[in-house]
Amino acid sequence: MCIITAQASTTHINADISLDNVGSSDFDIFDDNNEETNNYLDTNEFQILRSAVSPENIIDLLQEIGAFNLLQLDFYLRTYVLNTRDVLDLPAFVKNRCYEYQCWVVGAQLFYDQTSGVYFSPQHDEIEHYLAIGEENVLEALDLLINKVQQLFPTFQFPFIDLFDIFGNARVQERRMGAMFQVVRNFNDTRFTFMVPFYYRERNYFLTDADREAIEALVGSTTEEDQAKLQKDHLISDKIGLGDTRLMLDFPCIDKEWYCSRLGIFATIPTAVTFVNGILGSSYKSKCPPQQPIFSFTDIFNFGSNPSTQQQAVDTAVEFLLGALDRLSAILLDKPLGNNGHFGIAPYYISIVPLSFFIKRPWAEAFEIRSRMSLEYLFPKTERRYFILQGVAQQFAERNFSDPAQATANLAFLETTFVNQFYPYAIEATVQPGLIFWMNSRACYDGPCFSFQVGTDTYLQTSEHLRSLQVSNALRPFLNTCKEQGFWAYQSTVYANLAWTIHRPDDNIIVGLHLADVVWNYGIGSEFTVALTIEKNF
Amino acid sequence: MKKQIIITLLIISTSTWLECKVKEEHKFKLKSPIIGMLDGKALGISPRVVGLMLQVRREVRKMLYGVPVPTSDSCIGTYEFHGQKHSVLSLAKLESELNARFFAHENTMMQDSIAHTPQEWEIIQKKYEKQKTELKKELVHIKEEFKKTTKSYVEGARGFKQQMLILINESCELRNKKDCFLLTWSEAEEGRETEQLDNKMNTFEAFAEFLTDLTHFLEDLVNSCDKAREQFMAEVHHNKAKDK
Repeated sequence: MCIITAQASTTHINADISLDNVGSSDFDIFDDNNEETNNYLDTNEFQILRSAVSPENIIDLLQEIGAFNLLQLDFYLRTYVLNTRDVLDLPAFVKNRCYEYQCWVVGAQLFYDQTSGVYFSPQHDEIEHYLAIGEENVLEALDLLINKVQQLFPTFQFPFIDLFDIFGNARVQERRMGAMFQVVRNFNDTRFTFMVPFYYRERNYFLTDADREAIEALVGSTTEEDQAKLQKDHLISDKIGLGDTRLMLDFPCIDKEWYCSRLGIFATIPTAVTFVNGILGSSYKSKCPPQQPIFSFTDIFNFGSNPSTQQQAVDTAVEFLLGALDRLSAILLDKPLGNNGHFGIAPYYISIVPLSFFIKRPWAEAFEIRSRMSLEYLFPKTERRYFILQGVAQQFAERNFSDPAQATANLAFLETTFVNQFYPYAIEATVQPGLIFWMNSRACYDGPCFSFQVGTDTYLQTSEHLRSLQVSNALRPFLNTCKEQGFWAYQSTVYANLAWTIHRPDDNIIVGLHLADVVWNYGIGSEFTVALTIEKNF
Repeated sequence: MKKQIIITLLIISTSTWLECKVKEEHKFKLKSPIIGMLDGKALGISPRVVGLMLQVRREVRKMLYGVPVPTSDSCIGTYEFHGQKHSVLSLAKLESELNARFFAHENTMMQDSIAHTPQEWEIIQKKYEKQKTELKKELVHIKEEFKKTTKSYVEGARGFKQQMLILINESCELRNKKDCFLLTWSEAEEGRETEQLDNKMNTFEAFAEFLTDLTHFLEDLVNSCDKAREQFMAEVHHNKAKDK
């Protein structure tokens, strides 16, 4: 943007002269013989000044191009952390074989778990349900602003609306792969289980090939190196390390011919530790400082008005926008290993119903219906959460933008508002996760060598609650806590296990395959899991 | 015969166009939305920008027509050429007359029954070339002066090129001058405007037309910016009141 402000250098000219008493239209300024005009032009040397962009100038221009309308609309529709199911809670790792006759079970399960669309709202996995890039009022305000800018810069062509339309379909994918190490030990009737995963967790933004082609058609393609750099620096988050540890202890409860059950308790110990961060991507929580960045419209205008520094203006704007993308990635992609450091405790109940009790046939003796139910309570812990501010429109209404005396304060307000729209506040808060109810039922066939299981799995987690926000009293009333409030999550999964037991004189080796797929979900993404079990019983 | 008609038409047309009299032209109002967005704005066309445009316009008109003689419609040129005061317009007329005279002379010689020697042709050619060179030298000098006069305006408008181009386009369209050099000049890459002027502006006639288009554009622009113009006029009044 070029600024053409001319200023008289030899004589001070007051720009705020009232027109009331001067009879402004009583002479022709184009008249070469007009003494009045000639004197004035003779005694003043006019120059176009580029550097002295005043706050009033900037406010005027922002108002003129309709930026005020856009600044009053929230860019973030929600700021909560997306619901995910911890690896320890996947049905693939439920151990309820009958190990009573064994002393030790040591095993590892190699697993791959993929969520193709993490849910942004109870029933949607498109990012337009998290960011306001598909909202009609935002698009209208943006369209108006672009039109105004194009009036000033006719060659300015950037298809924001079309891009928003395409980016609105973007999803967040998650992949987890690694090994779940398990040890089971029976002490008479008491069974102790230890589980800890070592795994790689990756999250990335995802667009279909058609969407990517559409973007390339709109803005042109970039080199593969540029794309790879953009993905690593801003679009992928990954890490590798240990997850939380689960310790389980259960005892026989009912032991009848037709029904037996076990009652137990498990604890989730927050042992998660990241060994390597940012292998294919980046770690955004460490990359993005929690402080709000500083953005100066004055700098942008000053750089932009001078052809020799225009690139600096573009670089500053791009740096700001990439920073905003990183803040978004810190919220959506940078999910730690484990369960955010929350200690959990849960009672659980296992029931086994032999089919032979109902069907008196020899083949029925190998069949059982096994179920497992648990209700886990996770203890509160301090976490970093993100908030946008509320009441922005009211603050705009309360300000007098035409008062030159308030111009500096008004510009500072506009700059802060602009930053806050794209950079939600990062605030430490005590998070009370919701209760997790988990039920798992399956029909099992345990033959001498071959066994299989088919079952359903139900997972329900109530929404979390925040308390003790570590924020100043001045800021607290403006935080929009409603948009941070998540929702409950439900998953219904069907799964199947196939296993082959190799009997040896001193031990048994079990090799198995597990497949699971979510068939119904609410508030949490749909995932599928493949796991390969290798287990030694001795 | 055909050539004679062309020469006659040339003399008549250029003489009419280059009449060395200051004419008050009709000023147009530009309708581009850019005007609404910039008019009266400190970051757009402020009274100070109006002042600068009027200063440039006045200086360009001085070059074009000369200095106005008080209580008269006429002007006195500011450039001395062959002992006489000239303006760009009168020099353009001189240039045009020189061309016309040369072509007429050449034509007469060709139609003469007596065959002219190569030396005679050479003398006429050399005399014509000498006068042309003198005029060109003067043109180079005046162009340098023009560059100095418009330097602050051209430099100030850098980065504002897109907007200026739209406004110049509209002004030229309203005045039915779609292929004028003003557009070529303003379309030049930033910082290379003077190169365009040096390379493509080689006759007084073209230069006079360019200066005329420039003053027309500045007038149209000032005339279109009602708020900035009113503010400028208020400042002029204020300045006068202060002097009193």
